[in-house]
Amino acid sequence: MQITEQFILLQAPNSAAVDNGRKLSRNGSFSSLRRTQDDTLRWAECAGSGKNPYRTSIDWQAADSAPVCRCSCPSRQLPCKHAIGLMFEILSGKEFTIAEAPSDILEKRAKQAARTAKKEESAVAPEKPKKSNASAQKKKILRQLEGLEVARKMVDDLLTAGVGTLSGSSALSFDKLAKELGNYYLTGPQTAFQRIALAVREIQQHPEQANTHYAEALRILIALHATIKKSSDFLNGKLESGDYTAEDSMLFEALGGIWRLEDLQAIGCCRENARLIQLSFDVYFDAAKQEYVERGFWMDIDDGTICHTLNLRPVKALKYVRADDSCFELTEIPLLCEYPGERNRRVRWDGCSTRPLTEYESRKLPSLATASIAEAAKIAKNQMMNTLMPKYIPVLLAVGQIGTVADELVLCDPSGGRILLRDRREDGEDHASVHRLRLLPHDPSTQCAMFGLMFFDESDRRICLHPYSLVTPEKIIRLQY
Amino acid sequence: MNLQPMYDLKERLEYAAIAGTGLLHEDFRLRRAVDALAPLTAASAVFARISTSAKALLEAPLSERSVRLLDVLSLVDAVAYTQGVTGVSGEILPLQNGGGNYVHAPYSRLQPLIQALSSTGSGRMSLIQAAWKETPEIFSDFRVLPHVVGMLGESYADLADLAMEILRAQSESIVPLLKENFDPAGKRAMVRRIQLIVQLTGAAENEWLVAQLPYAKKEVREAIILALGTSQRNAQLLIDLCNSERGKAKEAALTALAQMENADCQTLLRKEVLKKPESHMGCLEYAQSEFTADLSAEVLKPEFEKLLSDSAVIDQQKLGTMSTLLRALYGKDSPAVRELWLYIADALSTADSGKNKPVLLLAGLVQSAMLISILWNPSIEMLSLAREMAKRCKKYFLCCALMADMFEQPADTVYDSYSPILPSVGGLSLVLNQLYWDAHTSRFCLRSKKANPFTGIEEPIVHYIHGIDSRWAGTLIKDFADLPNANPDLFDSVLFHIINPTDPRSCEVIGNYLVDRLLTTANVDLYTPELIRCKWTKWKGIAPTLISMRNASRIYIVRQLIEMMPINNGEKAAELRRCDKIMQKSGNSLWDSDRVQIEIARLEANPQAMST
Repeated sequence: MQITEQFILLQAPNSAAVDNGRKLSRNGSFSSLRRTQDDTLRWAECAGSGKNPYRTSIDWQAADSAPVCRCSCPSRQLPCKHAIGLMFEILSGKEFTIAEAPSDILEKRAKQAARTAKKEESAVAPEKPKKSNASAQKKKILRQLEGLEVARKMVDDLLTAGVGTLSGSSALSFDKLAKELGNYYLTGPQTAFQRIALAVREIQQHPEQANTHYAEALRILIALHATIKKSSDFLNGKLESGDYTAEDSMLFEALGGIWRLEDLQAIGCCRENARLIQLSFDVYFDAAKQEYVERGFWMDIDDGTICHTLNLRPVKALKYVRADDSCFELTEIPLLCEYPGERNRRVRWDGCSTRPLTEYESRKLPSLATASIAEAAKIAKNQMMNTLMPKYIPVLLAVGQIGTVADELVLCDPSGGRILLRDRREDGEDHASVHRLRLLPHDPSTQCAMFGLMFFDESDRRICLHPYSLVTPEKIIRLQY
Repeated sequence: MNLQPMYDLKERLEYAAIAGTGLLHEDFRLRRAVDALAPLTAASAVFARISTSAKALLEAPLSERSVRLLDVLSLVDAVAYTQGVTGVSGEILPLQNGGGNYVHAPYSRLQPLIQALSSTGSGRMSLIQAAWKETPEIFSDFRVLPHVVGMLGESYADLADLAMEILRAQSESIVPLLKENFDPAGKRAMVRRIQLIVQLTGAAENEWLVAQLPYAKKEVREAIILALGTSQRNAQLLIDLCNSERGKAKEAALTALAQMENADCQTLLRKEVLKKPESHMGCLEYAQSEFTADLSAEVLKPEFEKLLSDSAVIDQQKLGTMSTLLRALYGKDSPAVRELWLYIADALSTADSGKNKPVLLLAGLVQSAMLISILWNPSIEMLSLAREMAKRCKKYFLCCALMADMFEQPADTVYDSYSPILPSVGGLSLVLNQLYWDAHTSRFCLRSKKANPFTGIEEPIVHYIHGIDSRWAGTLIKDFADLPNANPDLFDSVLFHIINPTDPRSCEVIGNYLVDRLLTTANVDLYTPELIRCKWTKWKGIAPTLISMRNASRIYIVRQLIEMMPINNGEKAAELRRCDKIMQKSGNSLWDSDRVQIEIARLEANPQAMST
């Protein structure tokens, strides 16, 4: 089996497991390295703190999916540091003696095979129509409509009194309001109120920045108002039609719905054999939801569309949710599920494989860029006009020149169109990347493209680009991670 | 089209939202803004729609105002987005090349490092050190470099020093980064930036340094003045600074002046040094010109004449002063300097130094100064001078001749020449203490340190020599054993310097001696690593013997020794079992046999593994 460092990073639950696994391998903790004749199973003993060593194995019985890692250690992480360490043993080219697979692993393999066969059997059999509990769905929608009315009332009260009264309100009262919306299956509007509560806290802690936070609260209210209005129509429409199945609509998520992969497949939001390359990776903390958001921007190397992945890690469950990481290789995905939307759709997948980009693929990447800034800006404006959509759009722009005008960095497209390069303030200081362009080892060539977020800067009403990476024919230079 | 009325309306609507819709009907400014939109309504249907909605908002009953307000705001916002512009007028200047590289490192590796470099608190040093050791290339990444520069201002000095070390290893392309946000009135971080700029570029940034000088204060000013010594063009500026500056800044100006070859500079320097030799001789320490050598000799000759003609005048204060003044002679060579050294050798050979402690102490200072001089400047003339001094005063300067011969003669010749007269080589330890085994090149070298005259930062001096004869180990150990009242700890530290891991003969001799010392002192930390360096293989039985000889009943000493031994787990378990047997027999209550059994079981679980 071919193992790369990228493969190990993809398997690891977090970076600490990678470091610990690497240390175990480096310190010679593994002994009795064995493998089967067909090389589908590798196992070894790893010295731990206890009297007996742990028995660790990596099983590639199913060649098209991730390996099954097994270990006798008590860790709840999967794969554990011992399995990661064993991968590093393989990566470092250590000698594995050929041996018969241990009986306990053979037993587990047999059980696994039976489970897979059963699954496949059920997949082949005609799918029974899922029974949807219509009355429960109806009840839920009615409850949501009730909740939307409560939210509307809250917005109305807040605007009647004035957003300026936020400084005198208690953040706790907004927390309570937000909590109440949770009773109506409305986690989307609930988050909006949590953000208002956060703005209240900020105003109280930093009164000198009150205006910024009032503006932020107002933006949330405008978006919330649009959500309430559109969602009410959407839900009422469902009630009237009596069709309660999932729909290809962004409102489902705006209300707080969580898509399952099978639901996305059911509404046809999926495609086969996608080939994605990651253009950028970053992590930010969502204070309102108290979670880390690990975001990757990807490009389909076949058609140039840009999409994104989000890995949400709530603070309360941080160590139980696998951390995402930068990916430098081409990711081949048998079945890619896409969230509803038009551009920059969120994507998810269940299984994938990675491989290095070929020279041809690498050289092709810049050519997938949008050639004209004006064209990209038009698309960006159309998206920003929609109240429910993010106020930015990820774009890959062809570079004619990058330079400075009056000490501000400017990107010039091949036809002479220009756009200012600026950091998006909402992304926070840790995402600032414009200054990094000045530190690049060499001037980006004309053959390259720049990936970034196109956004509207309120301060001078300009459409700007927050640069995230430079795509050259040789490599992707990441300004973030 | 002038869209200002629309933006004014947007602003008023936002104010209305902040003030509350309850007061909306009283808001005459909003009303005026709605009226001002009239000219635009004819131009486009969307403005007409905004105007109509805004008017409806003003007329709406209180219960409807919030909804209407948000509707108008959404609409105005949407239009504002569509009016966003992208173009930028003006000439585009090309981007200057920056100082960083791009390293293909994932978030999981970059982010913890960047966080450690840019945050505060404990636990960062080990992470940064480990990254510097394992993946030094990551520090040249353009995303990491600015944070390393930022760490120059770290209050924890070890971290700031590590940042210096990392940045010194980069190319001069990082200079723009060091110049960015430079504060001439700043503190230590800015001093470090100056030192780095000078180290990386020499005199190339002279103009920038001169431009910073008028605004520079305190320690940054001293650093800049010192750096001005890199360029001969600064002669007149340095003369002016010597006259205008006071205190440490003046010292820096004189040190920089000592690097100038200009006659006016030399006249001023001579005047200042002769006026206050104790204060200003330090300025000559790192200058190597013939002028500064002659000036040093000119100052020192009368001082020596005074002291050596009447040893009664030598007191602690005089010795302290002489120690400072002698530093000016380090590495210097000129006829006057040679004449001074030979005068000193002659004078010391005739001085009654049998039990004359002040003369002995003075001779010790001179001996050290000559050895450092050789290390700083091992020229043929200097080496010949050392031998000549040894001829004239064997007692104090034979060690200098030994060092000179180490530079030029084969290892066996040096041994044959000096081993018969070993007891008469005074200062032998001073020579051997400068000797190091370089594992990278598998060669012996003589090492010293010398500060860069333009930064004040010490830099290592390394001279590779022909080698050390393997017979030295046995001879030194034998001679030491014959010496009464000798300090074994000092001798051991000297002996460590002549370990040659590639020479089995000397390693065997030194190893046997070190095992003996380990068993005598039970100093596991000191002797075990040196034994490992000697590639010692006969570990079996050392731990049980240590227990028997020293009654080292504390488990941690034995455990530490066994842990450090370069043997496999099975052998370690056997050693531990032997120790346990001895201690169980002795019935020592401090020995925790149960813990030892657990340890043995752990080791035996993986008997072939090497866990040191």
